[in-house]
Amino acid sequence: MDTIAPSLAETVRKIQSKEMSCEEHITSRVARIPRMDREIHAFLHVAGERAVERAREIDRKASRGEKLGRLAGIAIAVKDNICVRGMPATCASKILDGFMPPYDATVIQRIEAEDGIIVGKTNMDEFAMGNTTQASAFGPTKNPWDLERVPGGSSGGSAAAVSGGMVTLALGTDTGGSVRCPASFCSVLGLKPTYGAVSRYGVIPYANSLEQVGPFARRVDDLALLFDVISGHDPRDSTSVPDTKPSGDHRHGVKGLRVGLVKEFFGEGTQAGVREKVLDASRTFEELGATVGETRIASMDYALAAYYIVAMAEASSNLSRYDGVRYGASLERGTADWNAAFAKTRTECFGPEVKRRILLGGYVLSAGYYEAYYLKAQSARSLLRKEFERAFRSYDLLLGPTMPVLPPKIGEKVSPLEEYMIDVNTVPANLVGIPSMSVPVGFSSGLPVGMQLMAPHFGERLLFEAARAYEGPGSPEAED
Amino acid sequence: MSPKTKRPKEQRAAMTLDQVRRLASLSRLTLSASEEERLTGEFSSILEYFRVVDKVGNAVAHDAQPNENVFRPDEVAPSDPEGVLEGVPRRRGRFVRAPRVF
Amino acid sequence: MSGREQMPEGVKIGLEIHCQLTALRTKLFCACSSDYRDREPNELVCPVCFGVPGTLPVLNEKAVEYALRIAIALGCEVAERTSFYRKNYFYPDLPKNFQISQYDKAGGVAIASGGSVQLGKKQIRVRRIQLEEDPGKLTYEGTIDKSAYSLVDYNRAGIALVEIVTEPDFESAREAKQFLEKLRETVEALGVSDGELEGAMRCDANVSTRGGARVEVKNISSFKEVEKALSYEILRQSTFSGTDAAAQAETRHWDERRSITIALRMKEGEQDYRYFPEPDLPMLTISREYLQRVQRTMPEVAEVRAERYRREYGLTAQSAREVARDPLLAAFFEEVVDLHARPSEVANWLTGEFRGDLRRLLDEKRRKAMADDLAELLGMLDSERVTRVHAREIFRDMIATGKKPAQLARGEKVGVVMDESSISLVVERVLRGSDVAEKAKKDQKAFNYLVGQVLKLEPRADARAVAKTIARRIRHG
Repeated sequence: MDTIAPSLAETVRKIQSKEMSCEEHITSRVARIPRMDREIHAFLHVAGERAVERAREIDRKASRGEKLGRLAGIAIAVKDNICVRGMPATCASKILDGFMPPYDATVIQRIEAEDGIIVGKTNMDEFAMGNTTQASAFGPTKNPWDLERVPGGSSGGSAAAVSGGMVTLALGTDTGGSVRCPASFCSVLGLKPTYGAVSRYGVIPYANSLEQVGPFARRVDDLALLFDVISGHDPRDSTSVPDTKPSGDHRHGVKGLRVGLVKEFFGEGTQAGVREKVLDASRTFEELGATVGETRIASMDYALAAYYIVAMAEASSNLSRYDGVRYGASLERGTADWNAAFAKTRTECFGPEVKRRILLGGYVLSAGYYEAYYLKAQSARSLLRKEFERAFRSYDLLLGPTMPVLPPKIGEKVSPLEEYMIDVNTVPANLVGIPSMSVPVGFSSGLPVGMQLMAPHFGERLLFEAARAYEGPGSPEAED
Repeated sequence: MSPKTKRPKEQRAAMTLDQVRRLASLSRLTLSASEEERLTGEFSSILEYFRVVDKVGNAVAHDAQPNENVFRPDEVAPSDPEGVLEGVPRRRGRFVRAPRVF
Repeated sequence: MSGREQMPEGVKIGLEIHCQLTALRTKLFCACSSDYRDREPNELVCPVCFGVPGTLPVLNEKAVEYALRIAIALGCEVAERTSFYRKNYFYPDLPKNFQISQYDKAGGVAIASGGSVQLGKKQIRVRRIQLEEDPGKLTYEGTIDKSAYSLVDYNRAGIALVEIVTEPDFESAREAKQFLEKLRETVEALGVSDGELEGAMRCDANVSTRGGARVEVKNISSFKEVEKALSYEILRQSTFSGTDAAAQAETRHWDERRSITIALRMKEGEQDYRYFPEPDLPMLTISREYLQRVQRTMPEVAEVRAERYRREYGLTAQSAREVARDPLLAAFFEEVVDLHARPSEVANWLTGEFRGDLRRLLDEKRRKAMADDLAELLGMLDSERVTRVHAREIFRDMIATGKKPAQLARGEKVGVVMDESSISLVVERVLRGSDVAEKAKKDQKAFNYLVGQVLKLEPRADARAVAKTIARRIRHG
């Protein structure tokens, strides 16, 4: 589905040496997006002029002989809940229709400092609440591998943009699997970093204690580069950790690496094709010199409930600020007072899933229920964390399917609870804060399957190494 | 993942219509009568599922925070009023115009 | 109202005071300037304090230090671990529709608790102290009833507040007001807040009588209003006694214009703030070392200083209190004592009629010079070069003109030189009207008395010259 083109590193080199015109490169990139995106609908906003203007600046820099950044000339798509000054940030919601952030998120500043070019904002489930991107107020995104199926969510647009060859790199956010799920369903790489590794300043929050900005790419080296650019301590985010030495020894390849298959990730809801492909992948690791064993995480029983309780609680509070007074949509006509006006804006502009989570979130925080739900959920996190720590004493990496199922069809009717259930493998990493990556492992019935690798806190380097080894020396798939 | 199951009607509802109404009011959301009913049913199922955390003993509450004592110095940085005021839907001069409050 | 004068029984008042940390340069969670008074609306705002989506709070380190100063001064126990909570409710002056505050239930721990303050003969217990952010300000075009909408200014949003909650230990409106005044002096002395600034200290109160229901009284705009509001509410509640009805637990609003409390419209359902820990802010751990450092570097509070003056300098309790109350005056006192070393004497000169004027000119520049000058004047008094009355005149002139005491004593350049003949005239007058002239020949005290009388009539006269003239006069009959 992609034309053969130079790799990311090649592109940067050619632009620096003036072999390639950045302006031409970006102009062609931007020009083909409408055609490629017509069916997929990955983008909510394409910032063509701005991108081309940046590209011109980069060419000027190169002409002056200045050293360009590591992402020079690379087209990057950004999920629409990350603030880019001068571009809309709707979070795929009517309530932020027209909102133009007056500032750049830290991750954006870092990308632009390395001369990366943001070409547009991508579709998502409204306020990142969902795993199919169908809950967008502006229509769903389609899976590039099968237009009748969902691309996953909530960062479906970013995953589809990379998977569909429209951009080389993209940013999403992962609160309960929202990077890894669409990465798996779209057959691309997607990383949820260690909590605190990447600044959340400028990321419109769904659940603060769970989420991180995560990169999408088709090749491990590209993924690792984007992660390196966006990560690091930010004094504007009090939850961002001081720059930490990566954990684990530096290694090449997976020889001697201990990989643990987590039994709970292969639960009874796992589709046969998925199980097969992931077990195949574990055998590949064995062939490459890793040892593969099995482990159990008993507290996994609590994980999904704990995740939703905490996430909804935080969301219900985070979304209170949308009342039509300071930004975004504002509907007042026919209302008698402020309470009615607030209710009108929120009722007419929030989608059903968002409303559901605001209400339930309020419930688990309300007087009389706080201890039973919220505090218990936080206790469950502690338990889970201890068990993962124990598992990581025996294994360097943990492995399982990213999603228990293949990408569902668009419009499939499921109850909310059923939809929540398919996050069962991805939520533990958010609850505990460890880094986790989805790696494409092939297809089943023609649909993408992804495996999920998990490492201890700050073990991203280990994830990249394992994925690199699995990826092999060169993939036939085209690059940038 | 549990297969689709039909919840027996006689199962104790974890949430009542009244509670849904109160939550809606607290959250500044207006629900239609049918929405109220539907949500009461959905929430009851979901809360029933959430009850699994009951079994967790009172472990020390997780501090998701890896940090502690993060500060900034008491030094003034220039404000950015124009940037934020530009996005305000309704203004009266430099005031933000909000609906009437009693 | 009945005209009953006696105090209603069983009055219990608790206060909830919000004190802005006006000494901070920036807001609590962002670097906007905290100097928001007399500004254009929405001038001191940034994406953080305006609540723009995606922004995050970062805690002002000085705010913690200043909150701890208050906690120490009020005798509180400081928490080893404390954290911020979100208090969720909707209101146009709240940029995020939640306030970042603290909580002391369900696992939450406020920054300090369990303190007490001496008020006259009793102890007022402090339940807790917590840090939180101020909301913005709501105003109206014209009057509140006629205005079709409200106007919001977020300059104040995010300003650091310390909330101080007392137990219901006050038994009268007067006591509550005294406490507030003492608290204001304390926070000023601590250098954390200028309580005189408009809106810097606000308070709500809880009032109950005869063991009845607790009524919350809100919207008391100033300390002046506090005593009025509380007195009214106590009286209002007392009208229920002897009847079947009882004052019900409720929240009432102090209406300044009409000087009454009015019941707020009951909202549907009770307010549920859904407190939970603020996920964007890490925990605060306050070590012993840090607390000690705060204690060592904080300004001495008036109380403690007064006690020290009593002990070290032997001042009377009254005198000590008067001098210690004001940090600048106290510093001045200590400087003069260093030079002159008769503390009680020095204290006399700093209190009473001179206090106000002196206090006003005690900025850094004049303090040193004034200390030298006062010490010199007191030296002159000790050696009886001037009389006490004359000295007071000189001091007044010193304050007004900044001239040196010796200069003023000689009457030099002040245009009030008294020549011999003028003095003699006054001396004659005094001697004629006095019956101690004979006594004064032999008795020093009587003699001094005559000198004093002359100086009373003519303060500008040089005391020595007067003495000489009188001596000559009575000797020669």
